Amino acid sequence: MSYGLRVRNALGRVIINVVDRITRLMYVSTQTATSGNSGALSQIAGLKTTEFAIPVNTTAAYLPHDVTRSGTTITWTAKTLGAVTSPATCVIFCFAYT
Amino acid sequence: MTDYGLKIKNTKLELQIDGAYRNYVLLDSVDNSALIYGFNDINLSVNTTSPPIILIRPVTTSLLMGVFDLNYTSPNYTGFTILCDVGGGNVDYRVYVATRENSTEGYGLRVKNPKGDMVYDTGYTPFKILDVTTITIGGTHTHASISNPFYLFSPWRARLWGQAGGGQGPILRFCSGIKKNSSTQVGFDWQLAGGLGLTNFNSDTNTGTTSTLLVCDPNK
Repeated sequence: MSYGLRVRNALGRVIINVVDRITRLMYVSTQTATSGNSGALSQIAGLKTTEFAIPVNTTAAYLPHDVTRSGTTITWTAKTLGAVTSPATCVIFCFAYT
Repeated sequence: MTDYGLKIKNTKLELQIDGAYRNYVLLDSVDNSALIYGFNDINLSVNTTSPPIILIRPVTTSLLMGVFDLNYTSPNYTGFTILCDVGGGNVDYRVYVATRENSTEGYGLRVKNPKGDMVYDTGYTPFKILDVTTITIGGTHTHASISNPFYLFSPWRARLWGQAGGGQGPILRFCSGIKKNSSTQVGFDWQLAGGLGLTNFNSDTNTGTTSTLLVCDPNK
């Protein structure tokens, strides 16, 4: 190891290494069933992120949001399919992973 | 960077640990949980106000499944639901949450934010994304250098399929799911989620055929 940080536990096992990629939560928010919106996240500039939606208390008649990123803005879009489905309440997550 | 914390950059000059950001850590680790066909409600070991991240690793090969939703009763997340295809099978799952509690580990590194809340603690097993890709219905993703990882895909896609068949016929609802093809390959396809009534017309519509797939650390 020529530079950086390495942490070991009591057994001598390496538990953190500077070359590890540590996944960090950058944004989390619960969005109601019908909302489509966006958020400006200046903290994700220059970082690789993944952003996604997980439904909450839903049924087969409700659908998760689509989530996309453009620059430092993430946008979530409510989805429907025909007359028998509606958007679900969702938790929107954004994680940096590099 | 905030006034508190630890800032580390790797060879790509990217931030690794900072008092401003929080990390998700392992709460539940369950192997070989049995699933039946349909919706399987699973409780967390501890209720949490933090929206949990649920990762799955199918045990049964060629069986479609996916995390359908989180179960919430104010103010806590109490569990989640896995939709499993016809036949049922088994799954390994991991639950990660953001916690402000210190681990019980006596050695290591702990980073706190200006409020004194723990934001990083090497005593916990962290949620770690190894790869992010796009996966398409009918397709596969191979991760040759990562064996037996856990997965998260989002959003699950929905499909409505109706067939009149000379009179009224059923409308079936499908949701997308992943299936284990091997320790280094996962597939993605439609799984049956139930019926939605009858129709006089043939139809086949969906909300899309691609989703984001996260390939995550198996934490061996």
